[in-house]
Amino acid sequence: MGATLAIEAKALDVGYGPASGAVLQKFDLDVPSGELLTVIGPSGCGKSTFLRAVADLLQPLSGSLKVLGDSPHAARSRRDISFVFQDSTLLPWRTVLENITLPHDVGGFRQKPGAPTAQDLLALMGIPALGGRYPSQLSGGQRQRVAIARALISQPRILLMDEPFGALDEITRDRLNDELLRLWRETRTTILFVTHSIMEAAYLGNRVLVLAANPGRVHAIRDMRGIKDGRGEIAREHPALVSAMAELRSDLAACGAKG
Amino acid sequence: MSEAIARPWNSILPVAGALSVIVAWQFLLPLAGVPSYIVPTPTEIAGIFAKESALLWRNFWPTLQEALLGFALGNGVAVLLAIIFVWNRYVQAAYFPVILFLNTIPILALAPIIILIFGLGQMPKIVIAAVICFFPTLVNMIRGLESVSSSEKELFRVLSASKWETLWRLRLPRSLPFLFSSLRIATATAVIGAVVGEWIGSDKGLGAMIIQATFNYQSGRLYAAITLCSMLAIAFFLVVVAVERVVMRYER
Repeated sequence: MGATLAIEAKALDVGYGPASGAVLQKFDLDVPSGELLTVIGPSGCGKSTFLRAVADLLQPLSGSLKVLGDSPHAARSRRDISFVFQDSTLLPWRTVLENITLPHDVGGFRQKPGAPTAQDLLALMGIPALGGRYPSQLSGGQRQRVAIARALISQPRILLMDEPFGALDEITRDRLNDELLRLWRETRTTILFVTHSIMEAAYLGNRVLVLAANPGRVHAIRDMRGIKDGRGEIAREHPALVSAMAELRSDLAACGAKG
Repeated sequence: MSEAIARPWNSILPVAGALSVIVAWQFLLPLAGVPSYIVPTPTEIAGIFAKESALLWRNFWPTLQEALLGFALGNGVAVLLAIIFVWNRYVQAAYFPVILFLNTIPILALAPIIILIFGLGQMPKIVIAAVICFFPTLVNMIRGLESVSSSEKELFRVLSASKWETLWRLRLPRSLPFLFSSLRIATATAVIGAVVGEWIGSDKGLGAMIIQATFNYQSGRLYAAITLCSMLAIAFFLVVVAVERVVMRYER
Protein backbone atom coordinates (compact mmCIF):
# COMPACT_ATOMS: atom_id res chain seq x y z
CA MET A 1 0.00 0.00 0.00
CA GLY A 2 2.73 2.48 0.94
CA ALA A 3 2.18 5.69 2.82
CA THR A 4 -1.22 6.97 1.82
CA LEU A 5 -2.18 10.56 2.44
CA ALA A 6 -4.89 11.27 4.99
CA ILE A 7 -5.17 14.89 3.97
CA GLU A 8 -3.93 16.57 0.82
CA ALA A 9 -4.44 20.31 0.29
CA LYS A 10 -3.29 22.05 -2.88
CA ALA A 11 -3.52 25.81 -3.44
CA LEU A 12 -6.46 25.78 -1.07
CA ASP A 13 -8.42 28.95 -0.32
CA VAL A 14 -10.93 28.68 2.54
CA GLY A 15 -13.11 31.36 4.08
CA TYR A 16 -16.54 32.16 5.42
CA GLY A 17 -18.14 33.04 2.08
CA PRO A 18 -16.68 34.77 -0.99
CA ALA A 19 -17.62 38.25 0.24
CA SER A 20 -15.46 38.21 3.37
CA GLY A 21 -12.45 36.81 1.52
CA ALA A 22 -10.26 33.81 2.22
CA VAL A 23 -8.94 33.17 5.72
CA LEU A 24 -6.51 30.59 4.35
CA GLN A 25 -4.80 31.39 1.05
CA LYS A 26 -2.81 29.20 -1.35
CA PHE A 27 -2.57 26.58 1.34
CA ASP A 28 -0.52 23.45 0.60
CA LEU A 29 -0.25 20.58 3.03
CA ASP A 30 0.21 16.81 2.96
CA VAL A 31 -0.63 14.81 6.06
CA PRO A 32 0.34 11.13 5.81
CA SER A 33 -1.95 8.53 7.35
CA GLY A 34 -1.23 7.84 10.98
CA GLU A 35 0.49 11.15 11.69
CA LEU A 36 -0.15 13.25 14.77
CA LEU A 37 0.17 16.78 13.42
CA THR A 38 -0.13 19.71 15.78
CA VAL A 39 -1.09 23.12 14.43
CA ILE A 40 -0.10 26.38 16.06
CA GLY A 41 -0.29 30.01 15.01
CA PRO A 42 -1.55 33.47 15.94
CA SER A 43 -5.26 34.28 16.18
CA GLY A 44 -6.83 34.61 12.76
CA CYS A 45 -4.28 32.36 11.07
CA GLY A 46 -7.01 29.90 10.08
CA LYS A 47 -6.12 26.93 12.31
CA SER A 48 -9.74 26.17 13.12
CA THR A 49 -10.81 27.16 9.62
CA PHE A 50 -8.60 24.45 8.17
CA LEU A 51 -10.06 21.81 10.51
CA ARG A 52 -13.54 22.89 9.50
CA ALA A 53 -12.71 22.55 5.82
CA VAL A 54 -11.40 19.00 6.42
CA ALA A 55 -14.56 18.17 8.39
CA ASP A 56 -16.77 19.41 5.54
CA LEU A 57 -18.17 22.19 7.72
CA LEU A 58 -16.81 24.83 5.33
CA GLN A 59 -16.59 24.67 1.54
CA PRO A 60 -13.24 25.55 -0.04
CA LEU A 61 -13.44 28.72 -2.16
CA SER A 62 -10.87 27.35 -4.58
CA GLY A 63 -8.04 24.84 -4.84
CA SER A 64 -8.32 21.19 -3.98
CA LEU A 65 -8.72 19.36 -0.70
CA LYS A 66 -8.68 15.58 -0.52
CA VAL A 67 -9.47 13.64 2.62
CA LEU A 68 -8.43 9.97 2.48
CA GLY A 69 -8.23 10.35 -1.28
CA ASP A 70 -11.82 11.53 -1.50
CA SER A 71 -13.85 14.70 -1.04
CA PRO A 72 -14.34 15.95 2.53
CA HIS A 73 -18.05 15.38 2.04
CA ALA A 74 -17.57 11.71 1.16
CA ALA A 75 -15.23 11.20 4.11
CA ARG A 76 -17.68 12.90 6.47
CA SER A 77 -20.59 10.83 5.13
CA ARG A 78 -18.63 7.61 5.77
CA ARG A 79 -17.91 8.75 9.36
CA ASP A 80 -14.20 8.67 8.68
CA ILE A 81 -13.84 11.99 10.51
CA SER A 82 -14.53 12.85 14.12
CA PHE A 83 -14.31 16.29 15.69
CA VAL A 84 -13.47 17.26 19.26
CA PHE A 85 -14.36 20.84 20.18
CA GLN A 86 -12.83 23.17 22.73
CA ASP A 87 -16.00 23.12 24.80
CA SER A 88 -16.83 19.46 25.24
CA THR A 89 -20.24 19.94 23.55
CA LEU A 90 -21.79 17.20 25.66
CA LEU A 91 -25.58 17.26 25.66
CA PRO A 92 -26.60 18.01 29.26
CA TRP A 93 -29.78 15.91 29.12
CA ARG A 94 -27.92 12.74 28.16
CA THR A 95 -25.91 10.63 30.57
CA VAL A 96 -22.23 10.07 29.87
CA LEU A 97 -22.94 6.72 28.15
CA GLU A 98 -25.78 8.24 26.12
CA ASN A 99 -23.50 11.08 25.05
CA ILE A 100 -20.88 8.63 23.84
CA THR A 101 -23.46 6.71 21.79
CA LEU A 102 -24.95 9.87 20.24
CA PRO A 103 -23.20 9.05 16.92
CA HIS A 104 -25.29 5.85 16.75
CA ASP A 105 -28.54 7.77 17.18
CA VAL A 106 -28.18 10.19 14.28
CA GLY A 107 -27.11 10.14 10.66
CA GLY A 108 -28.32 6.59 10.06
CA PHE A 109 -25.26 4.87 11.50
CA ARG A 110 -25.21 1.71 13.56
CA GLN A 111 -22.33 0.36 15.57
CA LYS A 112 -19.81 -1.41 13.37
CA PRO A 113 -19.30 -5.10 14.30
CA GLY A 114 -16.28 -5.51 16.53
CA ALA A 115 -16.26 -1.80 17.37
CA PRO A 116 -15.67 -0.84 20.99
CA THR A 117 -18.75 -0.20 23.11
CA ALA A 118 -19.32 3.03 25.00
CA GLN A 119 -18.31 1.23 28.19
CA ASP A 120 -15.04 0.04 26.58
CA LEU A 121 -14.24 3.61 25.61
CA LEU A 122 -15.03 4.91 29.08
CA ALA A 123 -12.55 2.40 30.46
CA LEU A 124 -10.03 3.39 27.78
CA MET A 125 -10.37 7.02 28.87
CA GLY A 126 -9.84 6.02 32.50
CA ILE A 127 -13.32 6.88 33.80
CA PRO A 128 -15.12 3.50 33.76
CA ALA A 129 -17.43 4.32 36.68
CA LEU A 130 -18.91 7.58 35.37
CA GLY A 131 -21.25 6.17 32.69
CA GLY A 132 -24.46 7.00 34.56
CA ARG A 133 -23.54 10.57 35.44
CA TYR A 134 -24.83 13.67 33.72
CA PRO A 135 -22.32 16.17 32.23
CA SER A 136 -23.16 18.75 34.94
CA GLN A 137 -21.71 16.29 37.47
CA LEU A 138 -18.30 16.04 35.75
CA SER A 139 -15.12 18.10 35.97
CA GLY A 140 -13.76 19.86 32.89
CA GLY A 141 -11.14 17.16 32.32
CA GLN A 142 -13.72 14.37 32.67
CA ARG A 143 -15.97 16.11 30.16
CA GLN A 144 -13.19 16.25 27.58
CA ARG A 145 -12.49 12.56 28.16
CA VAL A 146 -16.13 11.83 27.41
CA ALA A 147 -15.99 14.03 24.31
CA ILE A 148 -12.97 12.07 23.07
CA ALA A 149 -14.72 8.77 23.79
CA ARG A 150 -17.70 10.00 21.73
CA ALA A 151 -15.34 10.93 18.89
CA LEU A 152 -13.77 7.46 18.97
CA ILE A 153 -16.95 5.37 18.97
CA SER A 154 -17.38 5.56 15.22
CA GLN A 155 -13.74 4.42 14.81
CA PRO A 156 -12.73 7.42 12.72
CA ARG A 157 -9.63 7.37 10.55
CA ILE A 158 -9.04 11.07 11.17
CA LEU A 159 -9.51 12.81 14.49
CA LEU A 160 -9.76 16.61 14.35
CA MET A 161 -9.18 18.34 17.69
CA ASP A 162 -9.75 22.09 18.03
CA GLU A 163 -7.94 23.23 21.19
CA PRO A 164 -9.55 20.39 23.13
CA PHE A 165 -7.58 21.00 26.33
CA GLY A 166 -7.44 24.80 26.07
CA ALA A 167 -9.81 25.39 28.98
CA LEU A 168 -8.21 22.90 31.37
CA ASP A 169 -5.73 23.49 34.17
CA GLU A 170 -2.07 22.67 33.53
CA ILE A 171 -1.95 19.38 35.45
CA THR A 172 -5.10 17.97 33.87
CA ARG A 173 -3.86 19.10 30.49
CA ASP A 174 -0.50 17.30 30.94
CA ARG A 175 -2.29 14.11 31.97
CA LEU A 176 -4.67 14.25 29.00
CA ASN A 177 -1.74 14.95 26.66
CA ASP A 178 -0.10 11.72 27.83
CA GLU A 179 -3.34 9.78 27.41
CA LEU A 180 -3.84 11.18 23.94
CA LEU A 181 -0.33 10.03 23.00
CA ARG A 182 -1.08 6.56 24.35
CA LEU A 183 -4.35 6.49 22.44
CA TRP A 184 -2.60 7.57 19.25
CA ARG A 185 0.03 4.86 19.67
CA GLU A 186 -2.63 2.20 20.16
CA THR A 187 -4.90 3.24 17.30
CA ARG A 188 -2.56 5.06 14.90
CA THR A 189 -5.43 7.31 13.98
CA THR A 190 -4.42 10.40 12.03
CA ILE A 191 -4.80 13.34 14.41
CA LEU A 192 -4.85 17.05 13.63
CA PHE A 193 -4.48 18.88 16.88
CA VAL A 194 -4.91 22.67 17.03
CA THR A 195 -3.48 24.39 20.10
CA HIS A 196 -2.35 27.73 21.47
CA SER A 197 0.29 26.12 23.65
CA ILE A 198 3.84 25.84 22.30
CA MET A 199 4.54 23.14 24.89
CA GLU A 200 1.56 21.09 23.81
CA ALA A 201 2.40 21.50 20.12
CA ALA A 202 6.01 20.38 20.57
CA TYR A 203 5.25 17.63 23.08
CA LEU A 204 2.44 15.95 21.14
CA GLY A 205 3.27 16.46 17.49
CA ASN A 206 5.21 14.24 15.12
CA ARG A 207 5.40 17.46 13.16
CA VAL A 208 4.31 20.95 14.13
CA LEU A 209 2.62 23.09 11.52
CA VAL A 210 3.20 26.80 12.21
CA LEU A 211 0.72 29.08 10.48
CA ALA A 212 1.04 32.79 9.81
CA ALA A 213 -1.93 35.16 9.78
CA ASN A 214 -3.44 37.73 7.37
CA PRO A 215 -3.80 35.82 5.20
CA GLY A 216 -3.50 32.42 6.83
CA ARG A 217 -0.65 30.44 5.25
CA VAL A 218 2.00 27.88 6.11
CA HIS A 219 4.91 29.59 7.87
CA ALA A 220 6.97 26.51 8.72
CA ILE A 221 6.68 22.80 9.40
CA ARG A 222 8.93 21.57 12.20
CA ASP A 223 9.70 17.86 12.46
CA MET A 224 9.80 16.63 16.04
CA ARG A 225 10.43 12.95 15.38
CA GLY A 226 14.21 13.38 15.53
CA ILE A 227 14.13 14.31 19.20
CA LYS A 228 11.60 11.69 20.28
CA ASP A 229 11.93 7.96 20.87
CA GLY A 230 10.31 5.29 18.71
CA ARG A 231 7.07 5.64 20.66
CA GLY A 232 6.88 9.34 19.89
CA GLU A 233 7.69 10.26 23.47
CA ILE A 234 10.03 12.71 25.15
CA ALA A 235 10.33 13.98 28.71
CA ARG A 236 8.79 17.40 29.22
CA GLU A 237 12.06 18.73 30.70
CA HIS A 238 14.31 17.28 28.00
CA PRO A 239 16.75 19.93 26.65
CA ALA A 240 15.97 18.93 23.06
CA LEU A 241 12.26 19.64 23.65
CA VAL A 242 13.07 22.93 25.34
CA SER A 243 15.17 24.07 22.39
CA ALA A 244 12.49 22.88 19.94
CA MET A 245 10.02 25.04 21.86
CA ALA A 246 12.41 28.00 21.62
CA GLU A 247 12.54 27.50 17.87
CA LEU A 248 8.74 27.41 17.67
CA ARG A 249 8.56 30.54 19.77
CA SER A 250 10.81 32.45 17.38
CA ASP A 251 8.77 31.06 14.46
CA LEU A 252 5.65 32.52 16.04
CA ALA A 253 7.39 35.83 16.71
CA ALA A 254 8.53 35.95 13.10
CA CYS A 255 5.01 35.42 11.77
CA GLY A 256 3.59 38.21 13.86
CA ALA A 257 1.99 36.56 16.88
CA LYS A 258 1.25 39.10 19.57
CA GLY A 259 1.45 38.65 23.33
CA MET B 1 -26.08 41.60 46.55
CA SER B 2 -27.06 40.65 50.08
CA GLU B 3 -26.04 37.24 51.37
CA ALA B 4 -28.27 34.17 51.13
CA ILE B 5 -30.70 33.41 53.94
CA ALA B 6 -29.69 30.45 56.14
CA ARG B 7 -31.48 27.12 56.29
CA PRO B 8 -34.52 27.15 58.62
CA TRP B 9 -35.26 30.84 58.03
CA ASN B 10 -35.61 30.55 54.27
CA SER B 11 -38.78 28.48 54.76
CA ILE B 12 -40.02 30.13 57.96
CA LEU B 13 -39.84 33.73 56.75
CA PRO B 14 -42.29 33.53 53.80
CA VAL B 15 -44.88 31.80 55.98
CA ALA B 16 -44.36 34.33 58.77
CA GLY B 17 -44.67 37.17 56.25
CA ALA B 18 -47.97 35.86 54.87
CA LEU B 19 -49.32 35.26 58.39
CA SER B 20 -48.45 38.80 59.46
CA VAL B 21 -50.40 40.23 56.51
CA ILE B 22 -53.43 38.06 57.31
CA VAL B 23 -53.32 39.02 61.00
CA ALA B 24 -53.05 42.71 60.10
CA TRP B 25 -55.96 42.31 57.68
CA GLN B 26 -58.04 40.57 60.36
CA PHE B 27 -57.48 43.13 63.10
CA LEU B 28 -56.29 46.42 61.62
CA LEU B 29 -58.88 46.89 58.84
CA PRO B 30 -61.92 46.83 61.19
CA LEU B 31 -60.01 49.19 63.52
CA ALA B 32 -59.49 51.53 60.57
CA GLY B 33 -63.25 51.49 60.05
CA VAL B 34 -63.30 49.62 56.72
CA PRO B 35 -66.78 48.04 56.56
CA SER B 36 -66.97 44.31 55.89
CA TYR B 37 -69.15 44.74 52.77
CA ILE B 38 -66.09 46.37 51.18
CA VAL B 39 -63.33 44.21 52.65
CA PRO B 40 -64.47 41.21 54.73
CA THR B 41 -61.99 39.84 57.27
CA PRO B 42 -60.19 36.51 56.69
CA THR B 43 -62.41 34.76 59.26
CA GLU B 44 -65.55 35.95 57.46
CA ILE B 45 -64.17 34.61 54.16
CA ALA B 46 -63.30 31.30 55.84
CA GLY B 47 -66.89 31.22 57.11
CA ILE B 48 -68.18 31.51 53.53
CA PHE B 49 -65.97 28.55 52.54
CA ALA B 50 -67.60 26.48 55.30
CA LYS B 51 -71.17 27.65 54.62
CA GLU B 52 -71.23 27.77 50.82
CA SER B 53 -68.77 25.06 49.90
CA ALA B 54 -71.19 23.30 47.54
CA LEU B 55 -71.79 26.50 45.57
CA LEU B 56 -68.07 27.30 45.48
CA TRP B 57 -67.05 23.85 44.21
CA ARG B 58 -69.84 23.88 41.61
CA ASN B 59 -68.31 27.02 40.17
CA PHE B 60 -64.73 25.90 40.67
CA TRP B 61 -64.86 22.89 38.31
CA PRO B 62 -65.85 24.69 35.10
CA THR B 63 -63.08 27.26 35.62
CA LEU B 64 -60.56 24.48 36.32
CA GLN B 65 -61.56 22.67 33.11
CA GLU B 66 -61.43 25.80 30.99
CA ALA B 67 -58.07 26.89 32.37
CA LEU B 68 -56.57 23.39 31.90
CA LEU B 69 -57.85 22.90 28.37
CA GLY B 70 -56.96 26.47 27.40
CA PHE B 71 -53.47 25.96 28.81
CA ALA B 72 -53.04 22.76 26.79
CA LEU B 73 -54.48 24.24 23.60
CA GLY B 74 -52.62 27.58 23.71
CA ASN B 75 -49.24 26.14 24.62
CA GLY B 76 -49.63 23.17 22.28
CA VAL B 77 -50.35 25.39 19.27
CA ALA B 78 -47.53 27.76 20.31
CA VAL B 79 -44.99 24.91 20.48
CA LEU B 80 -46.09 23.51 17.10
CA LEU B 81 -45.97 26.92 15.46
CA ALA B 82 -42.53 27.65 16.96
CA ILE B 83 -41.25 24.38 15.46
CA ILE B 84 -42.70 25.29 12.05
CA PHE B 85 -41.17 28.79 12.27
CA VAL B 86 -37.72 27.50 13.18
CA TRP B 87 -38.00 24.74 10.57
CA ASN B 88 -38.76 27.20 7.79
CA ARG B 89 -37.48 30.78 8.09
CA TYR B 90 -39.61 31.93 5.16
CA VAL B 91 -42.82 30.96 6.94
CA GLN B 92 -41.53 32.75 10.04
CA ALA B 93 -40.65 35.91 8.10
CA ALA B 94 -44.12 35.93 6.51
CA TYR B 95 -46.32 35.13 9.51
CA PHE B 96 -44.52 36.18 12.67
CA PRO B 97 -45.38 39.88 12.08
CA VAL B 98 -49.05 38.93 11.63
CA ILE B 99 -49.04 37.16 14.99
CA LEU B 100 -47.20 40.10 16.52
CA PHE B 101 -50.00 42.38 15.29
CA LEU B 102 -52.75 40.08 16.62
CA ASN B 103 -50.99 40.04 19.98
CA THR B 104 -51.37 43.81 20.30
CA ILE B 105 -55.18 43.47 20.42
CA PRO B 106 -56.19 43.57 24.11
CA ILE B 107 -57.71 40.29 25.24
CA LEU B 108 -60.76 42.18 26.58
CA ALA B 109 -61.43 43.48 23.06
CA LEU B 110 -60.91 40.07 21.56
CA ALA B 111 -63.10 38.19 24.05
CA PRO B 112 -66.52 39.36 22.68
CA ILE B 113 -65.42 38.34 19.17
CA ILE B 114 -64.41 34.90 20.42
CA ILE B 115 -67.79 34.55 22.15
CA LEU B 116 -69.54 35.62 18.94
CA ILE B 117 -67.70 32.88 17.07
CA PHE B 118 -67.90 30.06 19.63
CA GLY B 119 -71.19 30.77 21.38
CA LEU B 120 -71.92 30.69 25.10
CA GLY B 121 -70.64 27.27 26.17
CA GLN B 122 -67.24 26.47 27.65
CA MET B 123 -65.49 26.59 24.28
CA PRO B 124 -65.02 30.39 24.08
CA LYS B 125 -63.55 30.43 27.61
CA ILE B 126 -61.09 27.72 26.63
CA VAL B 127 -60.16 29.70 23.53
CA ILE B 128 -59.66 32.93 25.50
CA ALA B 129 -57.45 31.10 28.00
CA ALA B 130 -55.55 29.59 25.07
CA VAL B 131 -55.05 32.93 23.32
CA ILE B 132 -53.70 34.55 26.45
CA CYS B 133 -51.14 31.73 26.98
CA PHE B 134 -50.15 31.48 23.37
CA PHE B 135 -47.88 34.41 22.60
CA PRO B 136 -45.31 34.26 25.43
CA THR B 137 -44.86 30.55 24.83
CA LEU B 138 -44.44 31.06 21.08
CA VAL B 139 -41.72 33.68 21.60
CA ASN B 140 -39.95 31.70 24.32
CA MET B 141 -40.12 28.47 22.35
CA ILE B 142 -38.61 30.07 19.24
CA ARG B 143 -35.79 31.44 21.37
CA GLY B 144 -35.34 28.05 23.02
CA LEU B 145 -35.19 26.16 19.72
CA GLU B 146 -32.59 28.63 18.50
CA SER B 147 -30.50 28.45 21.67
CA VAL B 148 -28.14 25.79 20.31
CA SER B 149 -24.45 26.68 20.29
CA SER B 150 -22.39 26.79 17.11
CA SER B 151 -20.29 23.82 18.19
CA GLU B 152 -23.46 21.81 18.85
CA LYS B 153 -24.63 22.59 15.33
CA GLU B 154 -21.22 21.61 13.97
CA LEU B 155 -21.23 18.38 15.97
CA PHE B 156 -24.55 17.37 14.44
CA ARG B 157 -23.30 18.30 10.96
CA VAL B 158 -20.13 16.24 11.33
CA LEU B 159 -22.37 13.33 12.38
CA SER B 160 -24.48 13.87 9.22
CA ALA B 161 -27.62 14.29 11.34
CA SER B 162 -30.79 15.07 9.37
CA LYS B 163 -32.81 18.22 9.99
CA TRP B 164 -35.39 16.12 11.82
CA GLU B 165 -32.75 14.46 14.03
CA THR B 166 -31.25 17.84 14.84
CA LEU B 167 -34.70 19.07 15.85
CA TRP B 168 -35.57 16.03 17.92
CA ARG B 169 -32.22 15.29 19.53
CA LEU B 170 -30.81 18.81 19.89
CA ARG B 171 -33.21 21.71 19.44
CA LEU B 172 -36.20 20.35 21.36
CA PRO B 173 -34.23 19.28 24.47
CA ARG B 174 -32.36 22.60 24.34
CA SER B 175 -35.67 24.49 24.32
CA LEU B 176 -37.05 22.82 27.46
CA PRO B 177 -35.78 25.37 30.02
CA PHE B 178 -37.31 28.16 27.91
CA LEU B 179 -40.56 26.23 27.50
CA PHE B 180 -40.92 25.55 31.21
CA SER B 181 -40.26 29.15 32.19
CA SER B 182 -43.12 30.24 29.95
CA LEU B 183 -45.38 27.36 31.08
CA ARG B 184 -44.97 28.55 34.68
CA ILE B 185 -46.21 32.01 33.71
CA ALA B 186 -48.98 30.47 31.61
CA THR B 187 -50.45 28.71 34.66
CA ALA B 188 -51.57 32.08 36.04
CA THR B 189 -52.58 33.58 32.70
CA ALA B 190 -54.68 30.53 31.76
CA VAL B 191 -56.77 31.03 34.91
CA ILE B 192 -57.07 34.75 34.14
CA GLY B 193 -58.23 33.88 30.61
CA ALA B 194 -60.90 31.47 31.86
CA VAL B 195 -62.18 34.01 34.42
CA VAL B 196 -62.28 36.84 31.87
CA GLY B 197 -64.21 34.57 29.50
CA GLU B 198 -66.74 33.84 32.23
CA TRP B 199 -67.17 37.53 33.03
CA ILE B 200 -68.34 38.30 29.55
CA GLY B 201 -70.92 35.63 29.16
CA SER B 202 -71.51 32.80 31.57
CA ASP B 203 -73.76 31.72 34.43
CA LYS B 204 -71.25 29.35 35.98
CA GLY B 205 -67.61 29.36 36.91
CA LEU B 206 -65.61 31.51 39.31
CA GLY B 207 -65.66 34.45 36.86
CA ALA B 208 -69.44 34.47 36.71
CA MET B 209 -69.55 34.15 40.48
CA ILE B 210 -67.27 37.17 40.89
CA ILE B 211 -69.55 39.30 38.68
CA GLN B 212 -72.77 38.21 40.40
CA ALA B 213 -71.33 38.60 43.90
CA THR B 214 -70.07 42.09 43.06
CA PHE B 215 -73.49 43.23 41.78
CA ASN B 216 -75.22 41.78 44.84
CA TYR B 217 -72.76 43.20 47.39
CA GLN B 218 -71.99 39.65 48.55
CA SER B 219 -68.42 40.58 49.47
CA GLY B 220 -67.69 37.37 51.38
CA ARG B 221 -68.66 35.28 48.37
CA LEU B 222 -66.66 37.59 46.07
CA TYR B 223 -63.49 37.23 48.16
CA ALA B 224 -63.98 33.48 48.47
CA ALA B 225 -64.20 33.19 44.66
CA ILE B 226 -61.07 35.31 44.26
CA THR B 227 -59.25 33.13 46.81
CA LEU B 228 -60.25 30.02 44.86
CA CYS B 229 -58.95 31.55 41.62
CA SER B 230 -55.57 32.21 43.11
CA MET B 231 -55.45 28.79 44.78
CA LEU B 232 -56.22 27.22 41.40
CA ALA B 233 -53.36 29.15 39.78
CA ILE B 234 -50.97 28.22 42.59
CA ALA B 235 -51.87 24.51 42.42
CA PHE B 236 -51.45 24.62 38.68
CA PHE B 237 -48.07 26.32 39.05
CA LEU B 238 -46.89 23.68 41.53
CA VAL B 239 -47.88 20.88 39.13
CA VAL B 240 -45.82 22.49 36.34
CA VAL B 241 -42.85 22.94 38.69
CA ALA B 242 -43.10 19.27 39.73
CA VAL B 243 -43.18 18.11 36.09
CA GLU B 244 -40.22 20.40 35.35
CA ARG B 245 -38.24 18.87 38.22
CA VAL B 246 -38.76 15.38 36.80
CA VAL B 247 -38.07 16.30 33.16
CA MET B 248 -35.05 18.48 33.93
CA ARG B 249 -33.50 16.19 36.54
CA TYR B 250 -30.22 16.24 34.60
CA GLU B 251 -29.59 19.75 35.90
CA ARG B 252 -28.94 18.21 39.35
